[in-house]
Amino acid sequence: MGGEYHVRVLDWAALTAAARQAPPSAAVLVDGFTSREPEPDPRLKDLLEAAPSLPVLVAFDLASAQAPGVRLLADLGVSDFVDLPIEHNPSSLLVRLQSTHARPFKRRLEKGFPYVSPYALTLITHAAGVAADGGLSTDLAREFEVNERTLAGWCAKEGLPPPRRVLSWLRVLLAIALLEEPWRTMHHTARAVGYTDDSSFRRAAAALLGQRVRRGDPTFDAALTSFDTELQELRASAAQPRQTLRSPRPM
Amino acid sequence: MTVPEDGMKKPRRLSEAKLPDAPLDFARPFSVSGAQLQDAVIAAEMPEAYALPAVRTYRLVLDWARGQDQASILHEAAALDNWEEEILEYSREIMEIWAPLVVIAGEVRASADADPEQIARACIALTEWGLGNGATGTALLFAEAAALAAPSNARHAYVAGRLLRHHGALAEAETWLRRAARVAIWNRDREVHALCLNSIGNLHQQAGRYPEARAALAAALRVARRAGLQERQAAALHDLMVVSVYTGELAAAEEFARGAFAAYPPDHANVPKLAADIAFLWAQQGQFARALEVFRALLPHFADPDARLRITGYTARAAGAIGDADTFRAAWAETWSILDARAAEHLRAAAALELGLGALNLGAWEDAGMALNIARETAELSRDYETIARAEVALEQMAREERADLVIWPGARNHPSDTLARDLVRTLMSAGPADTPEHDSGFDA
Repeated sequence: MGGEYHVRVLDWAALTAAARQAPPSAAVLVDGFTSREPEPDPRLKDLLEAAPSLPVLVAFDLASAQAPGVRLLADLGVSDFVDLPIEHNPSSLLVRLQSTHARPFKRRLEKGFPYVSPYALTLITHAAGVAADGGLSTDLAREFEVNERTLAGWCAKEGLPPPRRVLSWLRVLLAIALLEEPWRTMHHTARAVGYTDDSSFRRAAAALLGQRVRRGDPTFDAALTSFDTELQELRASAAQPRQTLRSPRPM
Repeated sequence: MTVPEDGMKKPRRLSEAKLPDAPLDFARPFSVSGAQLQDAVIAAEMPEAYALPAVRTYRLVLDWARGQDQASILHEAAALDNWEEEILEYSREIMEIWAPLVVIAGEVRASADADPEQIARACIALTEWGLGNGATGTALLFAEAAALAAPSNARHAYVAGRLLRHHGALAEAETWLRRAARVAIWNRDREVHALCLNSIGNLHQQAGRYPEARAALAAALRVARRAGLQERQAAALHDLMVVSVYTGELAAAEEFARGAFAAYPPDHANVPKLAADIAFLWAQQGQFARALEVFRALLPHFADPDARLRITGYTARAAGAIGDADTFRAAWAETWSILDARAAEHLRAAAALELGLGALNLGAWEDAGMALNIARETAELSRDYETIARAEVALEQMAREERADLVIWPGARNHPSDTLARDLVRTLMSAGPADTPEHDSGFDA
C-alpha cells in the first residue's frame, strides 16, 4: 500500500493537467499558501476539481497559518496537510502519503454503506487501497500479515464474499468512480485499476452488476447499492447468533 | 502471582507482547477512524489563540503513537525542541488547555522515552475541557488520541468508544469498543471487558439491531458473573430489560428488571433510573396502579427538569387511569410549572400528550382537549409525527368520550410484581434524594 512513491515536481498548470490522468494510487502534494494571504492559493480549488479521486495534501507552516485557512482546506476537500517544519522529513511524508492513500475512494465507500461490521469495513477499506494499486488478494493478505486462507476465513465470518470477489467489486466500483470524471477514457480507466483493456473491465462489471456498463450507467451510488445488496444477502443466509439467554439467576 | 497496585491480576499468558495479535482490531494504519480532515474540527472549535497549537498537538500525538507502533521516530528532535519552547511561551489564559499542550510537547520531545500514560492523560484533560466547553468534536478526537497513545490501556479505548456512542458516531464507537474488549481480554481486565460488551450491546440497541444487542449484553452478563462483578451484572440485566421491552417480550423484561434490582446495591445511583424504567414498563402494560406507586416515590430522586417532566407526565397519566384525581391534579400542576419555566422545551409536546391522556382517562374532557391541542400544535412545529398522530387519536377518543388507556388491575395479593413494586418504593423512600447522577444503563444509556 503505497510503500514507494515516484516523485514528479511540476508547476501548477502541469500539475493540474497531470492530475486529470493520474492513476488512483497517486497523491498530490502542493504548497497551498503561496502568498502571504491567510487563505489558500486559489489555484488549489482548480486542482481539487481536476482531481476529485486523488488525495491532495497541502504543505504549509501551521505556526504561521490562521485557523480559518485550515478550516477552508477541509471545506475544499483537501485530504490532509503537511505541517512544516515539523513534518518536513521523509518518514513523516511517507506516513502522510500512506494514511491518505486512495482516501477519496475510501471516503465514498464509508459514506455509502448503511451498515457493515467494523471488521468488514476494515477489510473493505484495505481492499479499496489494494484495488487502487491494481493489487491482488495476495497483496491484501500481506497487508494484514496473514495467508490467503486466513483472509478468506475472515471474509466469510464477516459476511463478505471471498477476497477475490471483494477485490473485483472494488475494482469495478473504483473504475465507475473514475469514469465520473469526463476527461478519463474507458480504456485508460480500465488499465489504471488493473484490467488489461476496457473489454475485460466491461465483462467483469457486467458479471457483477448484471448489466452492460457505460459511462454514468450505473452511477457509483447504484453500483455500491448492488454490492451492498450482495452483502445483505450473504448476511441473511449466514447463521443467526447461537447465543441463547437464560433468565437471570436469583441473587 | 503478582497483583499490581491497580488490583488487576497479572495476565496469564505466555506472550510478552503489549497487544494481542488481532490484525483486524489493530489494522494499520493504526490511527483514528474517519476519512475526512479531522484537524479542521479542532481548528473550528478551539478558541482562536489555541486552535492551531491544538491541531499541531493532536497531530504530534497521532504521529508519536504511529512511531511507537512502527518502532520508528517520525520527527526531527530539533523541530520538537523548538515546538516545546514555543508552546511554553504561549498564552496561559486558559490553563486547562495550555497545561496539557505543554505536557504533550514535552513528552513527544522525549520520543522513545516518553510516557504513554502521561500523553494519554493530557489528551483526556483536553477531552474534558472540550466536553465542558461545547467543543465536542475536539473532545472526541483527543479521546481517540489518548487511546492511540496508550493502546495497551483498554480503559482509554473504552472511554473513546463510549463517548463516540453517546455522540451518535456508532460505527467509530463500535470499532473502539471491540478494540477495547480485545485489549481487556489480553490484560485480563474483566471489568473493562464487561463494560465494553455492555456498551456494544447498548450501541446495537441504539441502532435497532436487537438480536446483536441481546447477544452482546448476554456476553457482558456472563463475563460479569464469572468475575463476580455485581454492579456490572446489574447493569447488563438492566439493559437486557430495555432490549426486551423494545422487542415486546414484556414478561422477560420484568424478569430482567427483577434481576437487576436484586443485583444493584440499594444506594446505587442507577436504582432510581431502574425504578423509573420498570414503572414505565408497567405503565405500558396498563398496570397503572403499580406504576403510580413507584412514580410517586421517584420524584425526589430527580433534580433534572427533563427527568422530572417525564415522571410527572407519566404520574398524571397513571393517576388518571386509576381515577386518583388528587394525584392527577398535583402532577398536572407540577408538569405545567416545569413547562412554564421553559426548562425542558423539547419535551413540551410529549409531556402535554401524557397530561392529555391522563385527563382523558379521568374524564376531564376540557383539560384533555387543552393539553392534547397543545401537544399537537407543539409537535407540528417540530415535525414530531408520532406525537401528532397520537394526539389526534386521543382527540378523536375525546370526541367519543372514551378513555385513553385500558387498566389492568392488580390480581392476587403477593403477586411477584407487587412485591417488586413494594421493594422498589421501600428502597427509594429509604435512600436520600439523588442529584442527577450519570446513568450508564437503561432506556437512555
